[in-house]
Amino acid sequence: MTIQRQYTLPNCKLVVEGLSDGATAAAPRPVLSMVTNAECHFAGQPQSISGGRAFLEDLAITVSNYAQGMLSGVPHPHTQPGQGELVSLERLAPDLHRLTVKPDSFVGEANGGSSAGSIQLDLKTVQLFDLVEAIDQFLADSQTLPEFAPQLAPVSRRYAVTHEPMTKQVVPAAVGLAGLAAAAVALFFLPIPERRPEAAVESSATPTPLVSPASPAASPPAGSPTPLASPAPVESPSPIQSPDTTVSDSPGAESASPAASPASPASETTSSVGEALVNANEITEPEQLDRLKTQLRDRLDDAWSQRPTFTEDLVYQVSVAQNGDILGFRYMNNAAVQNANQTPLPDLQFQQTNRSAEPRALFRVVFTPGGVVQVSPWHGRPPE
Amino acid sequence: MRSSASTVMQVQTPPDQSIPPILGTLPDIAVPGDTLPRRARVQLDLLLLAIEALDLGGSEALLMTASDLNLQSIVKNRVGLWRLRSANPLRRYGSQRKTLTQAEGKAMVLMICNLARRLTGVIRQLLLAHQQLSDRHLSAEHHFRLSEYLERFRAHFRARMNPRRAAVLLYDTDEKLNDLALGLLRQLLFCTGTAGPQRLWTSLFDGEVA
Repeated sequence: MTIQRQYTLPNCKLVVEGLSDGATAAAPRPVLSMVTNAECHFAGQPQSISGGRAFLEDLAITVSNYAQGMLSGVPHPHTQPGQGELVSLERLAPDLHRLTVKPDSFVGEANGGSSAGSIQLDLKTVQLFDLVEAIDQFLADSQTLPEFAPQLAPVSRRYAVTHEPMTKQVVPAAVGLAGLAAAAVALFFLPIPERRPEAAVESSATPTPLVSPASPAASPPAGSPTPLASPAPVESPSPIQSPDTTVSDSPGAESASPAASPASPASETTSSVGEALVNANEITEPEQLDRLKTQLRDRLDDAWSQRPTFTEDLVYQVSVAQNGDILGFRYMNNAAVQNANQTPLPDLQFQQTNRSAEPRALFRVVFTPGGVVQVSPWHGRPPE
Repeated sequence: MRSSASTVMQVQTPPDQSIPPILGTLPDIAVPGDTLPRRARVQLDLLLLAIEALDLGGSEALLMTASDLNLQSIVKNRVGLWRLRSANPLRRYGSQRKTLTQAEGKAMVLMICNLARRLTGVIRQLLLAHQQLSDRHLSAEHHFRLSEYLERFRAHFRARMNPRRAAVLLYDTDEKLNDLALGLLRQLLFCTGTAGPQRLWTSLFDGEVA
């Protein structure tokens, strides 16, 4: 006896026809255990899809998996061979789903090859849901194919790795990059800090207005001489421009010259003020410079009795008061930092504190490995 | 299906006070820690948000549903419900570390599906309306109920989600929020079905199991 089961929804009707097994044939609702034909009609679609048991099972599994993919956003791959061979679903748009049914070879032969081509149906979301619901009702029906009960199972992690929407991965990174780019653009438009040409100040008697109020506060801490700036004007005889060597890279620098601490970071921060201060008080008179230079060289030469063990020139910037006292010095290269205690500078440095306002002259002092002291005016020899 | 669900309930013995028997209709999923993945916590709260946008009395109805389904041991009151929902890490006062047990997740799934089933008519109507509007290249404003739903959803989302989270930043325009709201509407449609709770529950673990 042929049994027909219909699962009807507003947009979809699933009809399953088959035979019952002998045991329950007499029951009011016998178990349909053998499928002869399954058909699916959609409202508004002239074409219906049909097939045998293979078609019905593939339809049920494919549609069920597709629905899970819609719920989670994680597509369900075909996990069993042969699955999805007859029925496949593809999402064309958020609300458009293409159902493709290939002819069931067995049924095709039975019908004399009448259903040769594959059928494509474009379903709207509501139609698709009605199909899902028809299939769920069929699966829930314990009197129709009770042994066919595909289980819902979450899809494995390894299928999902690449399926996180690309935007979700890209956007945080893009936001970060955009922020960086924005910052770079903003900084690009900021002017590069210009170095004002503070050419050797002619009038040492006219301090810059900026300096006078700042000078007491900005004067370096006790014990350290005024930080000596290196404005490095064009005419200077190639001073080694390595201001970072003045910052003690070597841990031994401080112990080597406890008194000489112009290289401390604090003095670096006040260097612009100090620069102005120095410029305002600098001795620029050629005769006086000459005299101080000779005096300095003689003093250093006399005091330098140690045999040099260094192999590189030691370059210092030394500031000298009008009376010839050494007020302070700065290291101009690494060797100068490391070998400061081999020079007489730390010993000769004047220890008195409050002389920062005194006029001073800047000299470039080089101790060579050959034992020679070279002294030259820091800003070069003034034009005669 | 309802009758079969009730038979399952009768079969459930012994009645455990702490775990409502109806949760037995959903399988335990083997995941590390026995808790809900992050995506699931976001998803459940957003679906509830969509229900609230569909139905003005949504939050009241949620509590009613909880008692209808005998879920009071998990959702005792408004605060208990809020606590479950604030496990959504995108919430303003949500916590990245707050977790949901599988029992709590199942309770939320059952509540969502129960409410969705009651709202089946509206959900189908809005989806069909959206379909027709987009077929004619019209915007959602041409349909009163649809635009009302979208507007309410946007307002709920913006009021409750933490705008500093990257996942929330994704929805910075009305269009993107509308797409999210429509996506949730489609998901709610699939929750209304015979196997809705099982489908929703299983889908929460997609890509999370070994």
